[in-house]
Amino acid sequence: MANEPNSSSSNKRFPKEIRLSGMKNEPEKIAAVSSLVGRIIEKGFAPATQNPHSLAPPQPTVLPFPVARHRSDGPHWAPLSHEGREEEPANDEADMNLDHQSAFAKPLKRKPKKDLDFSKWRELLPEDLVHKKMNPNYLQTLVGKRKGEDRSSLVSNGSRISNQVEDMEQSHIISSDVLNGASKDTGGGLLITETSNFKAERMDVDVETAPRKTENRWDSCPHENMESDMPSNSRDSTQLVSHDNRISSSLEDIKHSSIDSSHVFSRAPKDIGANKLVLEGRNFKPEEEGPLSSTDIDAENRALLQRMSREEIEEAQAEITKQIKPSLLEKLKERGRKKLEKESGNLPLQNASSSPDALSGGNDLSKISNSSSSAVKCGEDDSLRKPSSADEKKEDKNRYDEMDLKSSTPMVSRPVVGSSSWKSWSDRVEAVRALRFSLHGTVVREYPTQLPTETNSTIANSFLYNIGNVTERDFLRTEGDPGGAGYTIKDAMELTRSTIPGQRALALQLLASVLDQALHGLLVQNDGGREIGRSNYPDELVDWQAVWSYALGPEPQLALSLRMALDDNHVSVVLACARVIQRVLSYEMNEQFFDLTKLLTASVKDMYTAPVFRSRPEFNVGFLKGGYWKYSAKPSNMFPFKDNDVDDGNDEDHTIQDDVTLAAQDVVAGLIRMGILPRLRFLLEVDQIIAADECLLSILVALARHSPTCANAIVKCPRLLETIVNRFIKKSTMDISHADLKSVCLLRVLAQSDRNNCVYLIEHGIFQNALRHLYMHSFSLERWLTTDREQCKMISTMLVGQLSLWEVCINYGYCLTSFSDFFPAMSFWLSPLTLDRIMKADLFVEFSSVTRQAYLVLGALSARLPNFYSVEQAQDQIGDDLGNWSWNHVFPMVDTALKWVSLKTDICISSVLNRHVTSAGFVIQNSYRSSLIWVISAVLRMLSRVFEKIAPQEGVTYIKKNNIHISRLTELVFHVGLLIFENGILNASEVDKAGLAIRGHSFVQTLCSLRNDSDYETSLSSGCCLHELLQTIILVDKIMWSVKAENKKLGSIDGIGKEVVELLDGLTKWSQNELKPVLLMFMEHIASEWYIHDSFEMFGRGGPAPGVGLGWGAPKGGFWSRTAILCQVDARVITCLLQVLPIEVQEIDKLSHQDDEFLVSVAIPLQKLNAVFGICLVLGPRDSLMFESILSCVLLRVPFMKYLGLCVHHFLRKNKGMEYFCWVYKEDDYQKFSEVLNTHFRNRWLSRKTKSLDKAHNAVDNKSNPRQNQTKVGNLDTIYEETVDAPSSSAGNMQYITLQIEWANQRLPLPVHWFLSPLATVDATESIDVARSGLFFLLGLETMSSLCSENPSSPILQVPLVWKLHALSMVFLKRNDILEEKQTRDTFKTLQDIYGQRLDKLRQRRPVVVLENEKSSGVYGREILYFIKEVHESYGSFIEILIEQFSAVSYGDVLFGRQLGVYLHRTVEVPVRLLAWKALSNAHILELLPPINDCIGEIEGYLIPFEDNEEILEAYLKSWVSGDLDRAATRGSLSFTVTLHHLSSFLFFSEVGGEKLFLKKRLAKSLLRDFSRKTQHQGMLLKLIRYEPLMSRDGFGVEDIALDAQEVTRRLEFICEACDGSSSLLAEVDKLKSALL
Amino acid sequence: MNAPDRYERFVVPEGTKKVSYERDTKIINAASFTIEREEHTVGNVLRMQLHRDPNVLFAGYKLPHPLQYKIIVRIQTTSQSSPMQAYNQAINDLDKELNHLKDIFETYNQAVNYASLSNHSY
Repeated sequence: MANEPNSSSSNKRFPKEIRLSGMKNEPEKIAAVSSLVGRIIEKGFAPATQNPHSLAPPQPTVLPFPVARHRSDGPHWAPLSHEGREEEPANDEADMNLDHQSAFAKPLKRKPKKDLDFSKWRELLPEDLVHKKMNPNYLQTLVGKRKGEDRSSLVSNGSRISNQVEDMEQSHIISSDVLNGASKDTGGGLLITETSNFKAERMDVDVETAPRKTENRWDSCPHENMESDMPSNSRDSTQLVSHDNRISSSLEDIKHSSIDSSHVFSRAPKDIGANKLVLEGRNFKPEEEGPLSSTDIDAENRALLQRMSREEIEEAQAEITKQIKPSLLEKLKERGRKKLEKESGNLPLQNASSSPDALSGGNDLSKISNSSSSAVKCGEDDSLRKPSSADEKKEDKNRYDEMDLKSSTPMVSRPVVGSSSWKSWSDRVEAVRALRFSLHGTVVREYPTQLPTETNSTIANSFLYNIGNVTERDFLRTEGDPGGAGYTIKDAMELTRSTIPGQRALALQLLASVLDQALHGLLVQNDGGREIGRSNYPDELVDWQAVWSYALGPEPQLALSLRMALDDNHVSVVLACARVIQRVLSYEMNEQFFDLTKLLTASVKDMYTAPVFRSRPEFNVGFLKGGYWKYSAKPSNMFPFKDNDVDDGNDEDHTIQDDVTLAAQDVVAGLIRMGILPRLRFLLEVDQIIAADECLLSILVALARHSPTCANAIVKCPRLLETIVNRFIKKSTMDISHADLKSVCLLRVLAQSDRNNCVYLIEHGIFQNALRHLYMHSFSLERWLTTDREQCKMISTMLVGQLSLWEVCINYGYCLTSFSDFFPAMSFWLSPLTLDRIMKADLFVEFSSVTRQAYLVLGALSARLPNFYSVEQAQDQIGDDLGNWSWNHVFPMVDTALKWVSLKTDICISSVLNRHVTSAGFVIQNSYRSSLIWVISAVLRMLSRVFEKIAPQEGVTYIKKNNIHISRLTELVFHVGLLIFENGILNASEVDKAGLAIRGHSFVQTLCSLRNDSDYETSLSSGCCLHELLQTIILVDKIMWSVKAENKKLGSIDGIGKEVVELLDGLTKWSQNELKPVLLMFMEHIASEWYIHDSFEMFGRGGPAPGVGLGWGAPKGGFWSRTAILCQVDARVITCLLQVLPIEVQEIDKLSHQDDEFLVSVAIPLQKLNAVFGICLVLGPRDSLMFESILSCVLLRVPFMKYLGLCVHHFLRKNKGMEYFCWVYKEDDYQKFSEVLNTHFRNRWLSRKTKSLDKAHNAVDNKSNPRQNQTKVGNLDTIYEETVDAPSSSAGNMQYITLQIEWANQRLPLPVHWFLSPLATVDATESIDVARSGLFFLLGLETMSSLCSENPSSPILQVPLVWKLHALSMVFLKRNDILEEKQTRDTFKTLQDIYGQRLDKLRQRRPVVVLENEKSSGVYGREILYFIKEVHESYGSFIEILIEQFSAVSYGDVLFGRQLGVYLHRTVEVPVRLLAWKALSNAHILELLPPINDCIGEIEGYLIPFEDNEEILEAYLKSWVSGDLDRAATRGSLSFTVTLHHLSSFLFFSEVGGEKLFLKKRLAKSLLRDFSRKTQHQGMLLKLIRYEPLMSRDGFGVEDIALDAQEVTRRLEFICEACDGSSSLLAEVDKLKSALL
Repeated sequence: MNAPDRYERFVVPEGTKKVSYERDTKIINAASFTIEREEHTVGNVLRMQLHRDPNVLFAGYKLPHPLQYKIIVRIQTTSQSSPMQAYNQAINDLDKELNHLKDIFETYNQAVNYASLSNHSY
């Protein structure tokens, strides 16, 4: 940058400073400034000075504080502020000095930084992944997207630059067009080169290989330079223009490459002149008029200019002026001037300064402001900021044309669904880098800027400060508001390592509040799901998801700083640090989540919170998504120093970098690895900071929830548990502190994670100590009322905690006998007798929380009841502690419980429910109602658990022993059944005549309306309650039926009356009319909800994932959001309801064969079907049992299969276009389908991954040869993405080993296209039946879905067509023989036809003209089927395999051919189409494709629009010339029609100029030359010339139509023209002419 | 260790035919030929030769498994021909063509040798 001999230092000081600031702001671009002086960027530490733009920092009145830095921070021991000062000279002298020195300074080469700056996640990815990402196809799409991206990232300045880039790019496209096929790669490579330069992403592979192919004859500079030459032009121009040079050297750079290459490669030099003109004209424009360009580019270009000799420059200039038309020159000048004006209109600063450097500097200023305004407003004036706002954008179209809104305002959290690309996500996270937070954790937007009126240079000076003087902001000694400017997260990190304890504590508090805000922001954003941008409250504009990801991401190295801060000597720092860690682990939010899920019914298990990612889709499962989950950080990496750490002496193997890397993968794992546990123990044991106790225990709970490994580590950590027990559990006093609550919670979590932990707790008496309140107290109302409110709350929370600890033990089967001990204490809570007094004292919420928990415990106890009829009930008991609850206890408990259900008779309960004012006159609060509903649902749960044990089970032999019991129990059931009627829980109108039912609003209806309540708690509780109620009712019915069936002598039990007889018909039967609307309502809910899980795993490893902290930034929280919980409750209610109201049984009986009636009747079943599929998609890892039951009870039942068969039948009749085939499946077939699919789906989606082989192998290795393994111990192992998996059966065993579920090693939640798995899985062990059944199932589903026109949100139709087509292709790969039987062939063909129709529909819906912005985002033309983008990035190899199969064994099967034809469809993305064509051509089987009329979909789909992709056209030509098409021509197959159509229309119809014209001529020439060699091609060629694409008729390509002579002559003339006067070719044309005319 | 012996690749075991023919029952005029102890060298040449036959509708071959030293050639013809006929014809034609190639090569070789010899003598 100092290489400007002619400009005085004073002249350029100002702009340079500003420019520098700009660079710092754009860290992405730093790489491009590699020649700048003094930019040492260290590995592992991001550029320290990235937030330079700010207000005047407080003027330091003292010397800067020395900053404590971490030892890994490199070798500068001098005070840090110098580092910054090098770049930002404080005064003139410094500036001068620097200038002198910098002349000698050697530019430092910056390490190439890959893709994303913010995330070293990328680097953590395994190698192959990165490579895959970098394959040419990917890059091509990158280039396609590049325009938009570049602009958004460079923003205002970028618009100019990217203009330039665009020009360069175009010139290269031209040049590559000029080149022959061989040089194709070069063109692409050059494009990529530029891209990568601008984004500072140097993709070495492509960049280096590409330019080498071209040969540079102009100058001898090595070709690697080309990449750096490209972007440098603008700088050159800047300088040259200032010297009144008209032509810049940059032009030459481009010319060198492109002209040279064209010289080298082109065979027709004549054409080049024109091309060159275009090329240079385009290039010329920005140089001529626009000296404003990025200085980044400048810097490198200058160096190059120096290398060029005077003569070379002159030569180049002469060349250019010679070649450009004067008129063109004028035009370009004019255009450039206009642009300049526009630009300067927006940039007042720019006008002020006149020198080119100043201009560029000003430009940079605008760059800063634009890019940073997205994050935080910086210290520039407002006019600079505004251009980035959306309004301005519209006005200034030229500049902000394609600016990506998202990246220009990344703070706004937009719905992520549409923009799921990694890029936009990274932009969002990247923006957080610049966010500044106040001490309260809010974002500082507007600085209290006191914009000085001095000269610009001092503004710049005073605004700039670097990281060093963050520490200079001394709250005690500086004037003004030192914290006012706010701190970035990196600032805070820096401060945590300050030498001043106060600063450390401050920084940590700042972090804590930022994370706090982020958590709450996440919660709001997750739950609300509303358009956040509209809100007025500014902080909701912050993209908290990105903030959270950034903070926990790799760059700030949060875990490391926290771990060091925890070792601090100062209590305040430790305390603050503990709070930060608690936030990082998102303890509170997670606890809230778990408290809610605990209330859900289906599973007793909790989930671990460790972040996970999904393994990549594999070939042998057809690339279907939804692989096994894996931990982001390998569990074994958490403990590198197992046993042999002290005396090994290989310390150097472990670096802190390993810790940091691990922490970047997973914060918790990193903390554990860095030894947080011993430190926590020390703090608890020795320091005993009372204030920190609660916090530390919370941390422990959160750690224990992380993963089994972590929980185990806590248990194993010596003395940790003992310390906690001694300090908090084994107290003699009864008073309760918050820490005590947390300690009980910790015990519960630990017990949950492993059965052995539970045993440990019981054996060591810890359990008894923890539950001391239950032992000692006998609660009474008076006491409860007299204690003060706070204490009440504490006691109730404590009791809930203790009871849930007990519940855990009960679930394992321990401590059942403690019931008699605890009952006295519990009895107070169980009965609603004292309710009115409690409500009067306003303690109902506390009271009910304990009651609810008590009933949950009773429910757990009931689950341990011996089965009533079971033979083995005596043998069931294992050991002393393990046992069953006794039936003797049940009856009194049930009696008490039923009091809660008597909704009508109990005044208190009914008043709460109906929100009446009670007699006492106080108003019932909203929370009362939800609390009461929770209690009722817990009561109902207990009842249903009891009934489950009474209900007859299949396959169990009944023995009639406890006859007394039986009669008593049945009586009990009757009693409950009657209660349900009496209290209006169900409004059974039919029972009216018996006088049982009470008119009015039934409880079920109330619950339904409450489900729609805006209050979350209320709607969740009512949903749960409804589910429990339904379960109870179903069970009651079941028992009734069995009684009716088994026990004919009713009189003996019947003491109640004839109502009972009615009851025996079943509650559900009576209440069907009531339940139907309920079902409808919930189906609507699920239809709108199932989307939420759709996008939360979109990034794979390294992206937001389920795990710590509300889903770790997954969009809308993923499974960790409260919406998800609600969703699952809905799912449960629906599954229950579907048991009562199954999908089809009623309908199937009265099915008429009248089509119309059938079509009407299909609507409701279809809605149910969609709901079921919706449910399948929202199932979480805990719900595997539910998935099984859905499969076997709903989806794959034989009647439903039959129903699907009927649907197909009707569909075929309705659609006349389809071939009607006789549908002859029989009962046996359906039975078989059901069985086969059931096993398949279970194995495929529910199998858990067994321990991977390599792990076991490693274990063996460790034992056998420890010496060999020693070196490996410390290093981080990589996680293998693909490991062998073996299916294992999932058994619902009552003897739990653990009560927590890992996300890892299982597959749920399902991907949307899960039902395609029978087709797509290639598994040799699977029988052929699987695919056969899968085909039938799929056809059934598809026909059923398409029978009904209005079903908007069907998950079946939502699966992209690409996936379905792909699944069909997989069938061929799997077994060719499947398609040999007639029936399956018909099924398959129908499916193909259906998809063809759908494809046509999609095609017609697409606009003909593609919008500009769509184009930039990678959507070209009319493409719909993105196989590479959607299915797998290496889809090409799949196609090759498929085609090989086709060529080897298919006998040219028509179905197979049709399937392959799809890949040539015009809507398929270009790379796939090209690959498919080439593969077919190489295998010489083009002729095997069926004629175009037989192909899938309409003919137009293959022909319209005309092909304009040159690569594909060349491929067509190649096949033509090589003779591969000869047989295709005689057979009239698809391939020939397509070639004929596209070649002919390209040659004779397309209106193209420039490079395309050249291509056109070349194609024509090649065809002629081929004709001259192979006379047998005459027929084909004549066809080509005569070809007339007719749109109006029913067919395309009516070949032998009599063209009028004029048209033929026109075409021949064109061919003549293409011959370029070659006599031999003209002779051929004459031959043709004679044949034609 | 338990790799098959090398000779397995080219020695046809006793009792097995070099080529076996199996008619395809489901498709007219289609058959598959199993050629023992051959691989792509023969398979591909044969396939391409069959492609030249205008009566052949389909000709393809595959190596069922890298360790099964055989290829399976599938042929389907028009009703004017039969798979067996097409196969025989292809083999014969190939034979002729290769012989021809050999002859040309040898003649040329002789000529070159002669030339070089005569060069030497001078």
